[in-house]
Amino acid sequence: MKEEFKKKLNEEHKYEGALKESTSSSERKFDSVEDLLRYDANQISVPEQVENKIKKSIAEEKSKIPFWKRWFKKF
Amino acid sequence: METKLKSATGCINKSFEDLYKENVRNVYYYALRMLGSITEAEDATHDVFIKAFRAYAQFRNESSPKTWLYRITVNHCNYLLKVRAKHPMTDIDEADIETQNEIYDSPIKVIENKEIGLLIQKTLEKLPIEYRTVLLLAKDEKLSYEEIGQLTNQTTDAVRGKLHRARKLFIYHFKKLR
Repeated sequence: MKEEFKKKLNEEHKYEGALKESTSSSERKFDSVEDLLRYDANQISVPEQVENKIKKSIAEEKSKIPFWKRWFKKF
Repeated sequence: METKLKSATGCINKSFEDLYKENVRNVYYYALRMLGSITEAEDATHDVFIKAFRAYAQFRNESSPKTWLYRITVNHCNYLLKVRAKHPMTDIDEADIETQNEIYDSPIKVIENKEIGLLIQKTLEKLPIEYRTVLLLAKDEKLSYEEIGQLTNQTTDAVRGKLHRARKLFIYHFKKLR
C-alpha cells in the first residue's frame, strides 16, 4: 500500500515537473493542483455549529435506541 | 471536540469518535468545495456523520473506515448535486487544452491567501463533477488511486487518466480566472 501512495505522489509531482516551488512576499507557488487544494483545506476550519449540531443529533439518535438494546450493550 | 461529543452522547463508540475526529475536516472540505456553499457543506457534514453513526454498527471493515466514510460523503454530495440539478459543465473543448502546454507548464501562482479559496471554488465549478470528485479525493494523500477508483466506481487506470485531464482543466481555468 505504501508503494501505491508513493507512486501516486510521484506521479502528482512528475505531472507538474516543470513547476518549481518558490516563494516571495506577495506570491505563493504550488507544485501541483493537489498541493494547492491541500493548502486551501488547511486554511479552512470546520464551523463550531457543525460539531454542536452533530453532537445534538447523535444524542437524539442514541435516545431512539430501545432501552433493552442499550441495556444489553452494557454486557 | 471528541470529549464534548462523548460527553453529550454518553457512551459513544470510541472508534466512531476517532473516525469523526480524524475525518471531519476532510468531509467538510470535500462538501464545501463540491457544493460551493458553506451552509450546504455544514448540513452535508452533519448528515454524513449521522448516516455514518446509524450505519456504524453494520460496518464490516471490508474497506477502511476512512474510505467507507468517504463513500458516504461522495454519495451524499452527488445526491445533493442531482437534487439541485446544477451541473456546471466546461464550455471549452478539452482537445484545445491538450495542445496548450504552456498554460499548465508554469507555476500556479496566487497573489494573496484570501483569494485562494474563492479562486479554487470558481475553478472547481468550471469542471465537470467527475473531475471535481477525483481531484478532491486525490487531495487526500492517504487515499490511493485504487481507493479513489473504488469510491468512484472506476478502474485505477481510469482514475489516473481522469486525474490527468482534471489537473489540466483545473490549471487552465485557474489561470484564466486569475
